[in-house]
Amino acid sequence: MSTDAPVLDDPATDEAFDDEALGEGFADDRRKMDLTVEVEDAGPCLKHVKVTVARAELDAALEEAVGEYADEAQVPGFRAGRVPVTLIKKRFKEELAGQVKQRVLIDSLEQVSEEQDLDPINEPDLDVSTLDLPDEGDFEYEFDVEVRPKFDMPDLSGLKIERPDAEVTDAEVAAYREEFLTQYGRLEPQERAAEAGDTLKLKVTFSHDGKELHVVPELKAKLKPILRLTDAELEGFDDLLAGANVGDVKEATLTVSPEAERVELRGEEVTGKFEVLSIAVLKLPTLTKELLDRIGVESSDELDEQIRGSLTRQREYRQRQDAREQLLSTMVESADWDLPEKLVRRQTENALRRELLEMQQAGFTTAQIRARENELKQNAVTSTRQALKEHFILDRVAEENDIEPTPGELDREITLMALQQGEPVRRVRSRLAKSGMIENLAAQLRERKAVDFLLENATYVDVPAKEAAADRVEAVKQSVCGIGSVASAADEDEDAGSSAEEE
Amino acid sequence: MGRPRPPKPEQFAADRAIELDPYSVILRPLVTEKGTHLSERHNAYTFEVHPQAGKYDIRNAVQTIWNVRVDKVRTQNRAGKTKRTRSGLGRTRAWKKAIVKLHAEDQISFF
Repeated sequence: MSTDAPVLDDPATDEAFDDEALGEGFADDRRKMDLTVEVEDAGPCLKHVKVTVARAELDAALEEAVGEYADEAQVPGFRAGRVPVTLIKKRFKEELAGQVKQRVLIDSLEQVSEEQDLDPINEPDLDVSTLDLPDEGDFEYEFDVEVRPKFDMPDLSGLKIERPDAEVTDAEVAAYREEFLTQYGRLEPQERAAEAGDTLKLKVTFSHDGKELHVVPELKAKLKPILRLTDAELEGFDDLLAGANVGDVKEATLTVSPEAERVELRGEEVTGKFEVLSIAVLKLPTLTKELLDRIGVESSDELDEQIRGSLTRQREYRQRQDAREQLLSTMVESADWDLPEKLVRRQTENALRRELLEMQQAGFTTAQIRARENELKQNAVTSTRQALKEHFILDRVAEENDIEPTPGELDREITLMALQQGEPVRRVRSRLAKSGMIENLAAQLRERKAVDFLLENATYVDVPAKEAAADRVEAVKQSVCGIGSVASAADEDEDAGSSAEEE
Repeated sequence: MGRPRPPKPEQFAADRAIELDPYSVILRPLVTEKGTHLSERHNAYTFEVHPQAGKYDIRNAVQTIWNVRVDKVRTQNRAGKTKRTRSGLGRTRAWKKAIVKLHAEDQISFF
């Protein structure tokens, strides 16, 4: 979740720090300014604040500033500290006015934020350079500030979360073992028509409006109900090719995914011609001592045990992810309150800019980028709204339950990042500190802890696990449009391995 | 016979080759620590004045410009100082200073 740290540059924080240094009670002794504050609603989560600072406050601030100048001002004809106050006021008029303005603004804004309980999420929309201190009378200024949305917390205490059963059955273990052993299997060529479950070598030609888009000279795929390419899906893949013999050509229409890299082809229909080059059946190996040694286990029971352990871990991971998703969607469903529009816009623009920059870097033309921009905009607004609502709710949960990441947790997170990136911890930490991302990381940790807290207190309802649909899908690293179809080194190795076995 | 009487100030001014208006007589007030002290303690104000200006001119000029009553004018001719520069010895300009004491009820505010 993006947490573009909607943090108010709150002078109160610094002040509080200073107070600690100066001793307790200092903050209480601080003089209250004579202010008149009018707060009005100016839109969703937007407040219009009008502050009037009494003349006496301006004069007091001026005297204070003059006092500071009087001790140090260097004026020809006078020793330092001997310059008459009237001369200082005249000679340093502009400097003093700037200082008084700054002092009055900071103090009054601080007092307003303390007294009015505005709970702002960013700095006030205040152009200091346009403000001028009047020579006579009170000083007035106005600004708009975005505030944290006020909302009733959804009742998350009795939250019921469906937990798919994590127990792994023997049948699942057997199925996984079969799947696992396919990598050690051997392809036996067949002289018959193709059947579901066969492994076919195909030459595939994709064309659009009669123009050839991309040719895959050799595509090895198992005959399953769905063939999933990187940018399109073909349903009924098994029906299409079942019964086909070597040399047969079958045609099918595929719809290019809206996320495809070729912008102009998104959502377009593409024709795929599948020519069968060979038909083979994958024969699974028998679990001999040799094979077990190769896998690194001593017996088939140990293999089953390891498979069971791995499946259980996967299930538990899925359970956690599932629970998190359910929790977040429950939270957001009930959140019908408004968000600060400017914040949404800012966050959306950031996300959009990031995406467009990536497209530019990938070498897309301006027309292509523009075509994608509107679509991105719509998606970005929706997802940003959702992410912000999650953020505000989790922030409230963390606040109400005093959830804060400890320095140790932050350190652990940074160490983990360093390990993943293969960089020294110190370098990662200094980079994060330099880019100001440490605060974001802390905010993320805080949210994560808030989610964990909610999940700990939720009631779980065990439901049977959904059957994995993966077996219906044959995924290949090829695309319809021809971009990103280069097989990775791992695939090439894999292909080489299986062809060697074939021989 | 005693010493010849000095010319009256009016006569002195009339005899001078150049005519000075009040704003040419008073070149600038001297805003210094000493000047401030004099003004605060003795109601006397210091000015840099035209080197040709006499006490009578200064009195008139101050009275005209600030609309105050002048009690007394004291003047000093300040000699220029010798200054050593890269190209040899130089000299700063000479100037005339006036200390003008005002009537106890009058005041001037320079700043």
